[in-house]
Amino acid sequence: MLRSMLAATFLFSALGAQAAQTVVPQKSRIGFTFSQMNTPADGLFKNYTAAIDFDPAKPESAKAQIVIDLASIDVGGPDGNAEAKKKAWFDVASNPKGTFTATSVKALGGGKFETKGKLTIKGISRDVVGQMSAKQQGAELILEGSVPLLRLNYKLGDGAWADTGTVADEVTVKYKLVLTGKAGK
Amino acid sequence: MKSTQPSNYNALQIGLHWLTALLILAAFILVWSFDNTPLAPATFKLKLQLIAWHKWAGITVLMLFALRMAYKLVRGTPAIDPNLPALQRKMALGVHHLLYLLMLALPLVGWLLTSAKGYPVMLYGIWQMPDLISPNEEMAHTLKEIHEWLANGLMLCIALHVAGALKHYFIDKDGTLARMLPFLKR
Repeated sequence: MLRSMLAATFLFSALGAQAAQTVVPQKSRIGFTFSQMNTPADGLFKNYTAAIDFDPAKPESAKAQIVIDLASIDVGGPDGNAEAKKKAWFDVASNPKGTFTATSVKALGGGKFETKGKLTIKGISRDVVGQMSAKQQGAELILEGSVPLLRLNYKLGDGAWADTGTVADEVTVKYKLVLTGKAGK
Repeated sequence: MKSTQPSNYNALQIGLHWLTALLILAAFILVWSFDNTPLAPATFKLKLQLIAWHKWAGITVLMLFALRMAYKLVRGTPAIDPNLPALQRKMALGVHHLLYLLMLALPLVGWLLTSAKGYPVMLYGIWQMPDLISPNEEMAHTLKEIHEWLANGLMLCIALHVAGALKHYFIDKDGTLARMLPFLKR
């Protein structure tokens, strides 16, 4: 009930804002892959809000702001999830949100794009560059992409966890965002 | 199966049986150790290693099971002592079939479970096995419960299997156990 009310609120406010796009949460996913002792592993953030305005024909006017609820992290088990929220990792008590703000999107041809933006986690902002594909499927625009980053740049797994032989420095954010509605204003 | 049953287990069958037994024991010990190793910086590497070894042991049991079943089809296995009461023979056969089922199902569910958790198996540290399903938290939870129930079932079946073998050796004083432990032949 609450969920549908919220959805309705979002829908109406979206309509009010001249048909910006809305994310379909059931079909979207913001996850990441990392590597532990050279074995890949996969995690995700269950809760986030994404305000996106993207027309594949006009990538230069794209806008995107994604706010991630870092406490909604899931790395595959309760122990790992509890650890990931602690001070050494995401420190969700002091920094509950992570934000990504797109700064530019450039077409690479063939439905592929280069995405640039600012990613802020634990109060540390870094420019990140990623790749994205856009695919229109009926009324839905499907954006799929990845953004590589280094966890230690954001002090994720600080101090005793810094050994990259155990948990690699390289982390790749992988997302799939399914949008409905029309871009533009 | 072959129409003529061999009168004994040969060295390969005995070797594979005990190797499987050892690996199953190792898998249990490794996962208990994993559960008792804290997720802390000092022990995290060990914890990862323990669960990796657990997966290797389980997948190896699965591969050995396939090999053993194939070889059973080719060579056959000795019949249960026909002098035993029918009920005992049925029980022995039933436990064997349950053991076969569990040696197949338990590793497979484990493989599904680790796929659902988003942690692929890097077999022996060199080969990344394909994921059977995509990451799914609820599915992982359900699979973990099934994996644990099957593991409990396997423990119970092994206990029955061992109890049967010991009963033959100590009470019936027959040659059943010696078929798998030839040095016990009297």
